[in-house]
Amino acid sequence: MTEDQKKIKRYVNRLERHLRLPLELKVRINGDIGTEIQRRMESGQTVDQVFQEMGSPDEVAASFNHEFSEFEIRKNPIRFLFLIMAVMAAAGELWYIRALLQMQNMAESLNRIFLNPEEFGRGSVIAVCGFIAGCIAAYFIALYGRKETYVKYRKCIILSAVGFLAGMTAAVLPESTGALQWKIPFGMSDLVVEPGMIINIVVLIMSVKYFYTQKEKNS
Amino acid sequence: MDSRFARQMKKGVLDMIVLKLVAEKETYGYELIQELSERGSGFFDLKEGTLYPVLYRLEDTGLVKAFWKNGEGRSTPKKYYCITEKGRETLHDYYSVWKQFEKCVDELCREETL
Repeated sequence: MTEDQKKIKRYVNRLERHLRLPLELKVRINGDIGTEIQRRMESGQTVDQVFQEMGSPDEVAASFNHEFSEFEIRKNPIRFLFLIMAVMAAAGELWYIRALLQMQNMAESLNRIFLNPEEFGRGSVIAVCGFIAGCIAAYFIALYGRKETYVKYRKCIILSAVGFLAGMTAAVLPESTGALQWKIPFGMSDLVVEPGMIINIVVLIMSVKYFYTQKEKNS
Repeated sequence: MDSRFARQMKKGVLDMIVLKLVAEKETYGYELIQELSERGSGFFDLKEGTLYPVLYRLEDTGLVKAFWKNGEGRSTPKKYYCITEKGRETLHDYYSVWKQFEKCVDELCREETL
């Protein structure tokens, strides 16, 4: 690759990073800008002259983002909260499984860890997996917003559906108590709320809605 | 030539101007930028970030059509734009509206009334 080609590639890549638009629009813009650069160079300009005339990639991207503001994708920063929750839940799960295996090997060593193995069983593991799937699906929904291509929402639908099924499976298993559950006193008994199930249901509804909305727009 | 008023005016007529240039002959992005700069009396010194959204809008609404034409020798294929029949009718409508608008603004802003 020549030095000029490397400069063009860097320019176009930087432009794409700063475009906050749906993928097909980004592809269209990058293709046309790349062709424009080549054309200007064929008319005798150097690559630096071309970049000076066109403006910096940030300026060009800002102009496109402004002109196509109705298509702009706003990445919601709350997506990092879901990512952090997924990572923490995964880390906690791995720690628990490791501790459980150690317990199985040294069942009499109850002083080493204060877990009660009967309290947390496979149901809890499945419930936490469902919670992680829901958090990952929520991360992608917050990343895409409502204006991405409909194909992208498929993975959110699959993840949240799997998470929901995992939560349902865990709910019917007898040993799944305590893991990721909120018990709210309600009259004579407790109301059990599973945040994983709530996240999965909400994300599933949102994903399906955005999927069909964007599919209709594209057809 | 770059006051806020001038920018707003420019934004309002850009679709019509670009459509007119494409109607004159098949053309491509850089050529349009050069034409607008040469014939625009300083009002239409555009960059790609401003021109291409207009072209995409015209293309997506069926007023112009894009096609690739092989360049001469080893030059890269060029993406050309040509006007469609719908584009010609729309350009005619735009121009009619513009003439009425121009007349109305002229009458309202005649020298004696300022």
